[in-house]
Amino acid sequence: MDDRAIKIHELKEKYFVSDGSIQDKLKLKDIIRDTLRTQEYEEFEYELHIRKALIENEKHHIKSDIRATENTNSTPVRRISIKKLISIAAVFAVVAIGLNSIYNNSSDDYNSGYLAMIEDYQSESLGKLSVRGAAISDSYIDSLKQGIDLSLQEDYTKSKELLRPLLGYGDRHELVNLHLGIDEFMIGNYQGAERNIKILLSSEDDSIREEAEMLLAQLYIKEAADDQAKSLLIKLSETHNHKYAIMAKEILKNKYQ
Amino acid sequence: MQTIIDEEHIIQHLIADDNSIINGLYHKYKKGCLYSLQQLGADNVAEDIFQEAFLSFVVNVKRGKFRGESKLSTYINTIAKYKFFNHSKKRKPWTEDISELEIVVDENDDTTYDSERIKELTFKLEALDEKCKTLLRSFYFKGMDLKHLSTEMGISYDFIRQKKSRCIKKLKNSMTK
Repeated sequence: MDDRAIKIHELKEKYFVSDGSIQDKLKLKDIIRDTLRTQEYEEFEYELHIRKALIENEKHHIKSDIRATENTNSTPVRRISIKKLISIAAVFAVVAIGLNSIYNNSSDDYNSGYLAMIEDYQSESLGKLSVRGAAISDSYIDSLKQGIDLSLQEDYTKSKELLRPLLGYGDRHELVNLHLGIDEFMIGNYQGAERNIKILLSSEDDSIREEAEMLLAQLYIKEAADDQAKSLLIKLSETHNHKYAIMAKEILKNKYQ
Repeated sequence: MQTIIDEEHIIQHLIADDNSIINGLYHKYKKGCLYSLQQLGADNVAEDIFQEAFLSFVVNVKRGKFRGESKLSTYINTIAKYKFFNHSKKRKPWTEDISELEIVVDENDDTTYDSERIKELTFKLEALDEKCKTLLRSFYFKGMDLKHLSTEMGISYDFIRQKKSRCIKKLKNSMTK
């Protein structure tokens, strides 16, 4: 090998073998990029693909090992209560709305992300839905499900139309309010959303109250009410066992530090 | 102390490619990791994220990328956290957090991978003869240097270097892309 070939070989070996940090590797890659000619760099990229393929192969084998054992167990039917269902819907909406609104990403990113979440949500939760709660009438459940579906399909106005009449159903109205709050938020009626959400802040049901609190924090951010947003996020981040404690901490770190 | 010994054993087993412990590990870390993910609001994607994190965790340990700076459970939870933030729909907000993570989650470089090529390579690599498979895996996956490999295999450095080139050539010739 001539000097150049030796140098290239050493650089590549250092790249594939070294145990440096991500930054070190990127620096080394820059050096390789500067040193190698086009065709040589293509060879290097081919080697990168080999490494990636080997990693994917390994993951595939590990997955098969886990699956083989899992399949020997009987998988219980996943049951999910209507309350849990709405809670999940709310979480997804909060995450989708919240993170997007904070950082004002492009609507394309938002739409594709949200649609992807709908897909996950429907396939994983709705498809396996087994509604519990004998006290709830079938028509109520149907309307609730349809309302959530419409909301997830981004038809917030129709969702509202379907959910609003359900507000009269005793303690269940909290769940309806939560989803109505999400609908109003998505439509851009922040005052309406705030009305729906604030009712839930005194809920005795932790899961509903926590969703409402996080959604309200997102609303404050959206309305540039930074002081209110910050103080609510601090409260959430400091509440032991709050579902969104860590997320609140992360938002504070990103947005207000 | 018991935990440390156990974790050392786990690492040794994985580095030695002993996959018999994988299923046990999967269940050992699942509950704690799912709890952490749920705290982040990852309710219905938590299982998927955990599985992805677990795969990266095993691969990283096998490749010697885990430096023993934390407990294994912390390591897997950190990977899961990274994956969840990334999953949170690739909306940029969390990228700042990601850069704060001082761990290698996956092979983080700026390469744009051709997924079709990767797919074909995964098949073609499996079809290579055992010697080539071992050599390429040791170098690219395990990150073992050729000098070390030549000593281990009892062959000269020049020979192993040429052998590696021949294996890559063989692989390339078998590819359509």
